Amino acid sequence: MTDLTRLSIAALGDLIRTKAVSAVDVTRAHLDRIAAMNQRVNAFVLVAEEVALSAAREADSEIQRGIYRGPLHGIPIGHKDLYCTKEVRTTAASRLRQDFVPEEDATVVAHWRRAGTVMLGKLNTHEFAFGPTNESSMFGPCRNPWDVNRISGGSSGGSGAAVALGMCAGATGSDTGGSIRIPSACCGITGLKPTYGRASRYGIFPLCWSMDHPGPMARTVRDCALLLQPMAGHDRKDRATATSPVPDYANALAGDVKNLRVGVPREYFYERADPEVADTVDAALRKLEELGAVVDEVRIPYIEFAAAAALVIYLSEATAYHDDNIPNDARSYTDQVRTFLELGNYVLAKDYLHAQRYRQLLGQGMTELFKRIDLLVTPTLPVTATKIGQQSVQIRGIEQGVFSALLQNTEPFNLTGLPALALPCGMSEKRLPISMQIIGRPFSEATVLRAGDAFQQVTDWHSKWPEPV
Amino acid sequence: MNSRKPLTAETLRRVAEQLAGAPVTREQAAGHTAVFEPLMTAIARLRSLPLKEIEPAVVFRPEEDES
Repeated sequence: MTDLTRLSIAALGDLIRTKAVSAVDVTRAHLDRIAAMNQRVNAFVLVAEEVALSAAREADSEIQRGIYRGPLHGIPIGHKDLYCTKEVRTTAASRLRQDFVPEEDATVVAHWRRAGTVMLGKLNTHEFAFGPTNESSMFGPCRNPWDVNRISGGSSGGSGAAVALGMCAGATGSDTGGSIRIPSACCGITGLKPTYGRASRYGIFPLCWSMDHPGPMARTVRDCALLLQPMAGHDRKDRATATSPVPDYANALAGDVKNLRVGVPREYFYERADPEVADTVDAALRKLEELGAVVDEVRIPYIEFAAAAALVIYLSEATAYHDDNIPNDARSYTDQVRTFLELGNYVLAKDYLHAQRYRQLLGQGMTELFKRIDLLVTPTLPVTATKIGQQSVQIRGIEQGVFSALLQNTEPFNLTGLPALALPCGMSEKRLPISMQIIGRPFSEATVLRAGDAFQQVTDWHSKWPEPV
Repeated sequence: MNSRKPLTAETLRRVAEQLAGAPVTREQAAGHTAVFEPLMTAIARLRSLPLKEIEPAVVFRPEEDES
């Protein structure tokens, strides 16, 4: 008998559409998997069993009556606990919101619901998404499915761990400095940060208005394409959303990368990565070359200033959002998040504006670059998942803070708003996932996904299965 | 002016209390200073960039009635 929790969304969708299995069967299998595995990693912070089974029964009833909503109909998913879910508790993993029950869905939640997904529950996150490890959470840290003594990555750590262990087939994430791509990399799954404005932020607790990006997380690129489809598009409730047309993402997965020009920014992204990680991504580049991509080295001007600029923007915007809570409820935050919010009080307005000017400068450099190339490829992280509680890492003999190391390769693309995909491309000697990042021009998600899918067609890193130790 | 003196815990405590309206204890101020001083150094580097002709990414857009 096939283990339904090991199948991709695309495969489950086919079985449900042809009535080979019911949505209730699929939902029960995933609820059983949560019951068996969640304690090990602390990914789900709320399991909505009755809500899920009711939605699954409704999906089966509709399909029996010939009402088929598409490839996500009956698919069990989880939502990061930063996304408002109507009548289901939404906490942002913070004691400040521990009893908050939203009256309406976030736009993305509503769109996934309309597409027929079955919500199994809510997923752990770094408190208010303000950190890349998922250690600071009112529910406790989310753990890595490959080694429970290590971080899941964050902030969307629950999404990463739950998908990696087959507790749900896909999940929402949100990404301000890397919060979709970092846990995707740590947990060995696939995650897409779409272009800024491609998906609505409405109903998601903000961390940093100008850099927050909602996006999908799943085991394969094809599944991310399927999940992105109902997420993408203009939303009157989010003024940042774009009106540009939304292509059919799954149809764009042609299976080849022939003649795509791939830029490799060795300086900064590879030279500051652990050699094992850099070598693994190099091997992935050779695979893309074998598939017909044209690979060339490039340089991104002023990239070394990205971390400072991103930091100014995180601190300023997050502190502004939480300003009302800090004087009276400061002790309700976890220590690290409270400290960051307090530090935001000391950032000068002129430095915030310099950081926003730098974003334009960095963006101009990338626009010039993308006249010569179609994609950039980098390691998603310079290291593999670090240990829970670890404060610093040694990379090529240089000591660096864990937070800054985790963010260094991902946050430049939050500053520029470009679409960026993280996908597994190897395993370390310690049997931890290594991930590559594929970045494209604004709104070129279809091309980014096409390249990632072509890679997954000829490799099996996305099919590796963790057995937590 | 691009040069600056290192941040002290006392300065930070006064900024928190008098400018930000969020008082912190001397102990907290010392802790924040230790974290914030290297951040300030990194942030100060942004001022050396060629940003003269560049507008910030934050651009005001008048509210429109979309109903």
